[in-house]
Amino acid sequence: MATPVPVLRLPKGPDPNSRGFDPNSPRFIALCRTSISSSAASDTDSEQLQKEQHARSVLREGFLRCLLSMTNKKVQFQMYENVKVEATFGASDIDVLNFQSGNFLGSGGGCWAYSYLIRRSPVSFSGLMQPRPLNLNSLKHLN
Amino acid sequence: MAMRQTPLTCSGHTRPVVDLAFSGITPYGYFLISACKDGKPMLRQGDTGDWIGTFLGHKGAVWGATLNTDATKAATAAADFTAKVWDAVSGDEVLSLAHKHIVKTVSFTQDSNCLLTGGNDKLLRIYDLSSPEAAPQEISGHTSAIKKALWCNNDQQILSAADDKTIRLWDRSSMQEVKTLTFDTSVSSMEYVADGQILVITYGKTIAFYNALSLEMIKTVEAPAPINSASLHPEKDFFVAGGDDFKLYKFDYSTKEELESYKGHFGPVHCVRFSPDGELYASGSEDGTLRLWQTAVGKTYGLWKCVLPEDLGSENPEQLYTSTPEIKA
Repeated sequence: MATPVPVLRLPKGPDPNSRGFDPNSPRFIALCRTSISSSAASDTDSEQLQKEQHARSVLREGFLRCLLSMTNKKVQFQMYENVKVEATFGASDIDVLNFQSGNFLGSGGGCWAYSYLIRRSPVSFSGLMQPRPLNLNSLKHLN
Repeated sequence: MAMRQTPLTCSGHTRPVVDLAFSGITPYGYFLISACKDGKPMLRQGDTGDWIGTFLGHKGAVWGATLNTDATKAATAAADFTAKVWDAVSGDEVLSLAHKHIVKTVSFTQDSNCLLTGGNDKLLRIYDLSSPEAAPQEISGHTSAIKKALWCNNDQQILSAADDKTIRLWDRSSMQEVKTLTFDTSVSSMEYVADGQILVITYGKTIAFYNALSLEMIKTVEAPAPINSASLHPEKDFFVAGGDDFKLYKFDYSTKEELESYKGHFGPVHCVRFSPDGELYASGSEDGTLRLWQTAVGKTYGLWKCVLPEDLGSENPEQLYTSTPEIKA
């Protein structure tokens, strides 16, 4: 009777809370490194580091102001199979992967109480008050 | 002691896996991208199957996926009428190329500067990635949806397979058709092996090998079941095939003899590809999983650890799993 080949472990599966591409992986650090980490501050030009930190804080502030301005605004989630759901926007995480929204209104007129919508479902979402869809992805690269 | 194949199952997709592609060998190993009807192509470490990241952005099923040689770029073809180019290190979307219909296939040139696309609008398109706003060059001729398009002959020519039951060879400079192969039935897959200029084609239960320059047939092999995909080993010792009976088959390329077959998937196999070092092959299935299979069963490689008789009973800090073929991550 043949013995199955032993394995050290099983392949690692996806992280449900992240899209991956670990910024701490050797490949990412070698090929993608576009900024200086604060832990290396002693090895870098302090003026350069200060400029970078200022730029980071401007981006963070912009991202947070954008989220704040969207709070309590009407948004629309476009789900698969052409289902459109209107809701009141609450908040988003930094990766724009998960949203907190409430007062969902489906096309059939059904209404939910305040609840949590995970972003895996929507195909896209847009603010009804905006003339074109918001693009939070441009602001999400913060460290 | 005879060893039994232990496939490594990579879960994560929620719909059928329809296409797979390996990168070349890089200083960080080699990588595998999977196209899936769930719209979320994934990047994995090629020798272990470990998930690295998911490319998020498509709004429909992803029908084709590819990596450039050094795995710094990825490209995907989707039912949302776009082909997308991605940074395969950060996972960021770099370009979205709008098409007029479902895009089925994407292929980089060796220098990664151009992207070839094809799909249901029956046109081949060549995009210059250094000038993405420029209109692509278009090649027309196929009379049905294109399912696969590849660069060949040092990127001087293009091979395309379509639902019109033809495979066509095109000259890139003149954009003209050079040769056509016509079949009685639709070609289910096409793979190009640059070293040796061999084209691997599957249709019905047949795996056929052609000279990619002359389109002359080298040999054909009949499988026990309808085949959806086949792949030739880099050393051209073996080829593997998978199809509608859920099984993977391994054949000797010289003798055409069926050497091994494995059942493991719970649905038809849509795609099978050898790794660039030939040590394993990956299969993608209707069941939503990818599986990695050893070329030489029992060899220590990647996550497979061959336990020799003298190792048994000695202190071994590594934890070993001996598992049945149906294991899942």
